[in-house]
Amino acid sequence: MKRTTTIIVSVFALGLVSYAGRTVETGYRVVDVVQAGSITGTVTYDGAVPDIPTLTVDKNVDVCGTSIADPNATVVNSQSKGVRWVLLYLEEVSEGKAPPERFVLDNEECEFRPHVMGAVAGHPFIIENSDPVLHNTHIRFGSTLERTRRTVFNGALSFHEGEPQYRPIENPRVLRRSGWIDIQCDAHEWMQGYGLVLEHPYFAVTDEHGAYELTEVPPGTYTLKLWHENLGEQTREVTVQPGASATADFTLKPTS
Amino acid sequence: MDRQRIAWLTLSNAALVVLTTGPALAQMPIEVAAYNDRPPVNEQTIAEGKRIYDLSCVHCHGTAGRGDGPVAYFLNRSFGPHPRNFTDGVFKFRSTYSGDAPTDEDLFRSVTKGIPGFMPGFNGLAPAERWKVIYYIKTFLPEDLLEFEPEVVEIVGEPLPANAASIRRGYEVYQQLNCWECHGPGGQGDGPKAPDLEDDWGFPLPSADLTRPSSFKNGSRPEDIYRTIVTGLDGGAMTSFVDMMRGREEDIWHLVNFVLALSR
Amino acid sequence: MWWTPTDSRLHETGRVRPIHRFALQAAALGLTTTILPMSGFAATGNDAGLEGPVPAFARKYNLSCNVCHTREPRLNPFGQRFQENGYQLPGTEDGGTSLKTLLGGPGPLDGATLDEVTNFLAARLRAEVQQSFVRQKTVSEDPDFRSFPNVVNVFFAGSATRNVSFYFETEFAPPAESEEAKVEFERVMLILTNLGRYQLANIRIGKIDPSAFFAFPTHRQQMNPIFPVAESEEFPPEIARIPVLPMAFAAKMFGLTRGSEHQGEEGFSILPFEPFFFNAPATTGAMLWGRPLGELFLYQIGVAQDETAEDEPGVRWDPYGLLRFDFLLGPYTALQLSGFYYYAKNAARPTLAPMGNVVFGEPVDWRRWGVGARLHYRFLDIYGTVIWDDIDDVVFPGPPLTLSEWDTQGLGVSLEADWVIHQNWFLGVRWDFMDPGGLVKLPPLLQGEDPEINQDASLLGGILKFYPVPNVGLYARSHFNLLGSVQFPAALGGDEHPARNPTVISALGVDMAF
Repeated sequence: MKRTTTIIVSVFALGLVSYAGRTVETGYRVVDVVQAGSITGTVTYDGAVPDIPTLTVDKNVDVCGTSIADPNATVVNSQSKGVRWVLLYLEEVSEGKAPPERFVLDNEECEFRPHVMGAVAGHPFIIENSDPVLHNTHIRFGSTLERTRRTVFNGALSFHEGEPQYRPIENPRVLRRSGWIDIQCDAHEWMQGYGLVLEHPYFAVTDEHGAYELTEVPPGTYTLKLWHENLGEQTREVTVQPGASATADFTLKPTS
Repeated sequence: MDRQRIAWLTLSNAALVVLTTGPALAQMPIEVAAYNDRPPVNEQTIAEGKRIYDLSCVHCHGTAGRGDGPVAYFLNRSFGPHPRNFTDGVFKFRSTYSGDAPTDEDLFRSVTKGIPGFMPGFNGLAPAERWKVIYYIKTFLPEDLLEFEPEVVEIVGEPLPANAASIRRGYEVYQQLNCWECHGPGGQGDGPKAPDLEDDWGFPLPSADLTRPSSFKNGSRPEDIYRTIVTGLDGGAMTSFVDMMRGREEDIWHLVNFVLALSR
Repeated sequence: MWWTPTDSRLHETGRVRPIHRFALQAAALGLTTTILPMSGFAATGNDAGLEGPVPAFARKYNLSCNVCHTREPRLNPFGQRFQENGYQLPGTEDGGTSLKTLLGGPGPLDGATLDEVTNFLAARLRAEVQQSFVRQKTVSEDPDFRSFPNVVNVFFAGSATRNVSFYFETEFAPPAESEEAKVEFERVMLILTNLGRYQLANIRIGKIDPSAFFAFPTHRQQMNPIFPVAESEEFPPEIARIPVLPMAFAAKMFGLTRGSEHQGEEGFSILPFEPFFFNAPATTGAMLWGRPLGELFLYQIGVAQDETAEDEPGVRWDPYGLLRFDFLLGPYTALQLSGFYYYAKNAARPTLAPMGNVVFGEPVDWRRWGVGARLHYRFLDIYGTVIWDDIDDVVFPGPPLTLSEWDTQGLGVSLEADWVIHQNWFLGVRWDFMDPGGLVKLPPLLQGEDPEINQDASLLGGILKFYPVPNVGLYARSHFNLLGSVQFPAALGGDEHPARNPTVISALGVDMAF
């Protein structure tokens, strides 16, 4: 509590005193990680591999195609049973590795790529458009379900058709604060993305086999959290020994 | 039946109309100097702002700025827009980039002019009083918004002559930017997407009927329409075209001419 | 058919209504419920769903009606502030000149004005068509058929300068069966606002509604009066049907008149069921009000002009005062409490008419005081008032009239709950109760064993209103008498007591405002 108050006060003071580079000060400190460990694992599905519904597309069919796999479906690998698009992140980390410079969201083949992403507050957010059609990215903070989502970006993207004008948007606002973001395209209502903005870079999204890896983790005990849009959340304590790799595998059950 | 009396009443009423509207019909310039006539931001001016807020604003915007005054519940309950909840930090009428706070001048414009159909213009308050109430309203804004200095979207160029060629080009841009999807092929707010539009608060939101410029909530001058196109209306459905149209500002002015032509 | 007269006496006297009369009424009703709403649609364009600005001040300010009204004519807390402020929104007092500045203009703040009269001057044309149906235990008249339309009311209001406003309202009532058509000044007033200091003092002069700031103002009822059928020229008055209006407002006194000078005039007999004094629709006078201590508290003092009931009548000035407290309780919630006192010196005379000879008692002073409260929560608007009336002791020159029994106190209660169910639907429920005073019993010789004259009255009513467009409301309402049958003393006609005679009073109607 005291720490949070200090952070808020110092952030506010910093914001008032020096406004530089449009970055947001956070409580996270970048250090050289000594004897870094890692957390790896896979997320598998305990149940019959679900079908992915196909949505019919009736707009920009030349680019989007006439049908598209439902981006909101649970994606499970039929061989490995690995669950894709699971976000894993550490709850609180005060210091550690340097985060990526920027976070990129692409509109490609009328889908958001990636579908689920982590990001670090205070960094630029790049929105690209690889499709030669008008995409209209609408990003909101907060939860759709709890009706607390609030627009933080709503903008039309330039596109390849008029090549000279095309440029990605480098937006300094989307990652202004930490929290969940909900990403939609107002031009293509099926497009859906999710993001979690954290103050530190210790997060990962599972690949098509359900595997993930958190690298350069300072030794210590952490709360590892898991989130999947359809299969819910899980929490686990994980201890990272110096220089070692900790394993944390998860099994997700279908929600009834 | 008492015809004389009715005739007299009609006449006297008519006379009253003439007598009371003469001066009102004159052009009413509004003080431009008001922008520069700003009191300092301090505890005292914020306290005075609260006094004015409690007099003029609290009935709709609520005691805590959450848009929940006793009157608010009756305003368009089943559809948007509703009185703004300042603590959400989402503002439609900005000159700034999507996601940014409005500038103080933007708030001043909204307080002064009101929002046609929805909010009265509080031009009966002295400019200094309006500034003070804005200082108080800003205390409701979320911190992360306040500490992030808003960046004003530059209005590039000037309105172009509204000739046939410009309007025709504006129509092409209207098609290209998919404006018709919400605003309708004829601009009457009846596009295929219009019935499904929602604001951030989950309320259905009617799409603006561009054939009725008096309903333009963000202003109906060419500059106002340009501003609305480039900044979008955060919290509503209107998207920001500043990034997409960078380098094509002339096309925006053509689009402005087309939009204005819709109501002529 | 429940509204058809059932009293056999009507048939005996040949006053059976021919069938074509029913056909005519049905046709008129059909007109009111179909054609007029359609004309409403036509007048307002396609704004039905959008709450497009409609009459009067909503048009002047280009705002939704709901900025000031819960449902017209009730004002919400902001509407009350607007009314108090001389029909200028707090913070927009500019004398009505720059209100309609369009957004935009050459400079950042310059703008052009919209040259429409209605944007500077609030104007409203209101018309109401009402067909009422009465079921009474005895029927001494045809159920009242109001011609077409019932009431047409026009008002203009606006601001001449920053501190001077005016209000001008006229009303036309078409000829009814017993009355001629009437055009009347409903309210005409000059309003001076924010004198001395902002909110310190405001003045209204003219024909005003003293109860304008009370929790239950006389003029702002969701259930408009269903008019009485009564003859007040003579004493005792002949009340064929009591009016349906909040009984708390009523005079609540039997056996009083306005004095010998008014004998034979309409209004000579004071009708116990008609609104009176502070709660009269309009009185000539002046009032002063303000909020010197801020938003919490409002004071109001005023005088109302009338004539004394003395043998040599003169002008009397009735003083009155009101206090109101306003609380904003939290999200979507507001509460107000108000109380008033009204004093009228020599306002009435107790009157008896043994064997047809009218005899007056000594003039009496009349005191009225009331409390009211209003709770506003989301779509609910609950308000009510209790009003007490108190007159001096009754003195008659000599026996046997001194043997008559009088009650110097009367009490009335009106409670209403309104609910905006939906943009287009409105439901209101009202309970009215009256424990009247005045004449209790005639001298024993005349009264015999008959029941008391000042019988309690109690009506429970409801209204369901549908708004196809915001400015046209179609309504159905009914008021049920909660109390049983009581006979009037034989000396006063021996018929059913007027408060007990109706069993159900209903009305269908259309309320339009443009």
